[in-house]
Amino acid sequence: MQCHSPEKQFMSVLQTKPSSEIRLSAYHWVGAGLVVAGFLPLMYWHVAGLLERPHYQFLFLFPIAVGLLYSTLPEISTQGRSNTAIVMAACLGAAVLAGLGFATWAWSPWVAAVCFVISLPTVLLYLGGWPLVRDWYPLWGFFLILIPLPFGLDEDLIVRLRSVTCRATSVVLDQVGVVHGSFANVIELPGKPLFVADACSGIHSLYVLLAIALFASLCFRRTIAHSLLLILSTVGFVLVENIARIASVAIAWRYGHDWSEGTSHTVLGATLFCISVLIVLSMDQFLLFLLPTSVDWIRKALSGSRELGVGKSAQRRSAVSSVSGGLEILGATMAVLFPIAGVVQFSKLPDRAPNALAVFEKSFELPRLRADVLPAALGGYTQTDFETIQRVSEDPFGKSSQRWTFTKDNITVYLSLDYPYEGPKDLCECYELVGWSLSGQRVYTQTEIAALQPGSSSSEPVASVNLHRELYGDAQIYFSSCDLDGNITSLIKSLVTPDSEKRIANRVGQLGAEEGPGNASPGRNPPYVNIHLLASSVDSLSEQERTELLKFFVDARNSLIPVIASRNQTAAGAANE
Amino acid sequence: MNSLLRKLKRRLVTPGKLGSRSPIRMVWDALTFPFRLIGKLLVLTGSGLAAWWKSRHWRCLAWGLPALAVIVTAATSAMFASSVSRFDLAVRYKEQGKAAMNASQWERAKLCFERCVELGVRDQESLFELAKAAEKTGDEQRKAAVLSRLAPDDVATFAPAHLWKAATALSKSPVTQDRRTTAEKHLRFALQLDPDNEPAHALLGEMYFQSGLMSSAAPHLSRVARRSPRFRMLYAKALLATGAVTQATSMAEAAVSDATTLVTGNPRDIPTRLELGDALTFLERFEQAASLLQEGLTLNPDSVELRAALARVYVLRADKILAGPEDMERKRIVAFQMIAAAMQLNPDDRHVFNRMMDLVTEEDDASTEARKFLTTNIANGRALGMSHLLLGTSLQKNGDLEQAVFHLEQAFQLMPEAPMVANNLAWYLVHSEPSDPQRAMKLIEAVIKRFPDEPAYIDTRGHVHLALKKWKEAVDDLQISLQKFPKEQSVHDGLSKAYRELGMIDLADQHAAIASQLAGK
Repeated sequence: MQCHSPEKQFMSVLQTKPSSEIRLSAYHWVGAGLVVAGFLPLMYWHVAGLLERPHYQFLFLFPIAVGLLYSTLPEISTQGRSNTAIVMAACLGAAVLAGLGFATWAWSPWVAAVCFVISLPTVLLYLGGWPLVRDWYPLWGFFLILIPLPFGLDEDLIVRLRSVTCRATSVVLDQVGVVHGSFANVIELPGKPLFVADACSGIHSLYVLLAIALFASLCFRRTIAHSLLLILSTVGFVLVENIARIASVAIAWRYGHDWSEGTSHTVLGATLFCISVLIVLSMDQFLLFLLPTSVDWIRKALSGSRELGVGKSAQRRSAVSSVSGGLEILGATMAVLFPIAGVVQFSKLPDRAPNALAVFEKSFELPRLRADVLPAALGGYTQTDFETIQRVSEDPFGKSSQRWTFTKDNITVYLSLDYPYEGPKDLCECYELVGWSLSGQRVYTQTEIAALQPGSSSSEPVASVNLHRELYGDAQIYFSSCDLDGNITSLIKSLVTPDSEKRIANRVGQLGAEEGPGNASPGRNPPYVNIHLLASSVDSLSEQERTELLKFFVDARNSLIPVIASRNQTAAGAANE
Repeated sequence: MNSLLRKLKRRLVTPGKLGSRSPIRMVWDALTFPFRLIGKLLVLTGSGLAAWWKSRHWRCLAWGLPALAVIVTAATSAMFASSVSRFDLAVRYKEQGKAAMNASQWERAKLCFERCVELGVRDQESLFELAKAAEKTGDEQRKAAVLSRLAPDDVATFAPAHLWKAATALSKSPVTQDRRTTAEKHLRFALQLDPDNEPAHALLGEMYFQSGLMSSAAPHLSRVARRSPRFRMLYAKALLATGAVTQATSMAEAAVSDATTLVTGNPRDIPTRLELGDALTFLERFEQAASLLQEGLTLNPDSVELRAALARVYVLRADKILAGPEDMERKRIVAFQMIAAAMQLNPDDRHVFNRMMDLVTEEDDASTEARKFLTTNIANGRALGMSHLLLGTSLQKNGDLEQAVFHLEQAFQLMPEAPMVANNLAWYLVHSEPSDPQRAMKLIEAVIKRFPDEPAYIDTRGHVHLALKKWKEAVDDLQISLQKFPKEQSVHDGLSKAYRELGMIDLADQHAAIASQLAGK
């Protein structure tokens, strides 16, 4: 009887390794190495860039997974080589080379990664023909996880999944009778200010679990239908895991326990993640039960007890190949071209390399400032409070904040420094996440700011957005981001890249430029600190009040930026000592 | 599948076979074809399922049970959730919100009503409860946003919300004309929606009463007079002001009757005792009122309200005595005794101060007695500040500036927080020789910061501005003062001087003429 438990299947795969009769020469290995060398700089950029993002940090385990998959593979056999396969490999190789050339010219690590993944079966096709490509598909197939959705679509997916999680959690909490508020991406519990469903919603486990599902499918040689169903169901399980996580926190809160942060939160997350892994493996078994392992039973149903033929692959494999020397030379020539692309990439390296080990470094923390960093009275507003706020990692409003509160009549102004961010922060996303409607997005230009505040020390642009929320009233935000050298950027993405289509158009339009988006701009020194003013009033804000608030923001920003820069230098000096 | 199709094609399309059949058979074949096809497909599916069933591995199912359980649970949960309507859910939240309000769990209540509204049940009652919960949790912006929907400024929408908005406007100090107008508008909206709304009648009636619009106040107070002795008394006073003396007296008697019952039931009920005292004073039963309040003071010796009320009774009784037909000198002595008693009870009362000032500034036996009383007070350390103030002010009026400044400075040292003291000292400092307008300005600014709407203090500041030669500011202040004191010579003199310095000669001349007219009078 066929064995179907994961462990036994794994062992059976190991035991059925066929041995090849014809071994590869060093010449072939050198050629493969040359191809890989052509991708090195851009692939480093790509992988390190992924590792900077929390939801891809599981890629540190990628080599182990690849090693495990490799151990299940048969030895490389050149039995399937044929002139046709080599010609096809040459065509694919040419396409890959062209793609790599394009990636090098446009400095696009993502395109390079796509080309790299395609190059793997191409090399296998060249070395061992289709049989080798088929036999080794678990290995090169697993490299697909290195390719995220392009143009920030993976981030869009996270945002949408987060929203779905939030809505579904609300439904579950309603069913179990937990009183809560739910709007946009927020679950609000009584006495618990705002429970933002972002990092703590466990959304990052999506990518890890998808990788595990893919690994299991490839490792156990599942059919394509089985693999696709497993991956799709994994998305569902991630949703269930996240709902369970938030619902657990809410239920625990009802009974007086705070599981939204700290050790209990970590333990809850780890437990649910482990359960999810087991559920994914269980789903694999369930699909194995549900789906036919082959189409034999359909054939049987159609044609009774007709004897099934021997697999064509076996027939092909038995054919002895003979390859012409000219094609070998063509392959060698192409292999030599790849390192040239690598050399060109080295000459185009951007100023700042992504930090692959960012996860192991302590996150940036601005020294605690004091209330008197800003004057007690500014622009007619009186300072009433100063506080520091700590949030979960990757909270859209920043992991840390230092916030001053000012009041005048019915207007309350919160001026805060939020940090750290990898790049300039667009607060529109954050406020939309917590349920505000936005209007009047605009960035005041340097000229406008200079006209507003003549004689001001700095007149950098300011992003401005009007907020409205039904039954909450109106509010106004102004914001700018500054790096640790005090360089100011004010970004509203919707004004620059309104949607994914325009993002794609923008990205394509910028191809070939010295610096592509997503890479560090020259002269910038991240992480970024966001300076953020939120003004809310019992009554609607008049135009005059908005103008006063803008002046207030510019004045406050001018006071804070030198402090940020100097504090950063002090901290850096202390660290060096 | 291909072989099946080939078979079908062979059987249906091959001409030889078709040609050999009878037309009836062909028609029969055509008619039964769909059924035969379905039959074949069923057989095919059945055999396929049988083959699938035979090839199943039950151990895989066992391993897959956890995943199956998750899928079934999620699907069941989704089905159950879809069967609950948003309306039912909203109603549930509304009930939980009400329960939380009753239990004073404001955060929870706010959340419940927010969710109720979010789920689409936006009835005015839920929104109003949300606003109340928001207020309790200090979320003023949310409260204002909800109220702007429930009680807009231009259309009558929801009576309780309009009432709340009006009450909020009237509860803020000072109650400016704008706030009164806003409150009146919302109270009228509330009454438009609910003509029998007693709280709205009460607020509107009281507001009109406070504004001196007695004829407007009376109809509203009549609707709520039965609610408490206090409203009976307000109504009685309004009736009296409109000339309905008999009705006013009868209403006051009713108030006395109600309040007496209540006070007898609960002798420590200070508010009702005060109302009863007020009603008895209204009916000019001063002895009875004084005795009632004195009894209250015996029961509650620390009650400031009772002391003030008793002092007020003495003052009114003194006024009544002074207005009586007896000999003036005798009347003033009896009145002095009343005012002295009032002063001992409540030395900070403005009315007591004014009456005592009237007594000490005129030269007769009563004024001598009054000065002696004040000096004794100072000697015995009783009502020190007020006694110094009275003496200082009376001496200032009588031209003994050296003595006056001594007493006023003493009064200020003893009662730096008393606005009247600072005001009088500032007035003295600006009119003395040499004057000290800088110090006067400091004193009066501190007073006005605390009492920004008091015309007497604004008048003093106007005169300080004159001394500082700030003509424009002086005009601003004195114009406010003029509204309250149109027949005060010093106000017209000040305005005349300021206008003249500002080059507005016509206005200056007009004020000078009025001032000289008032001086002659």
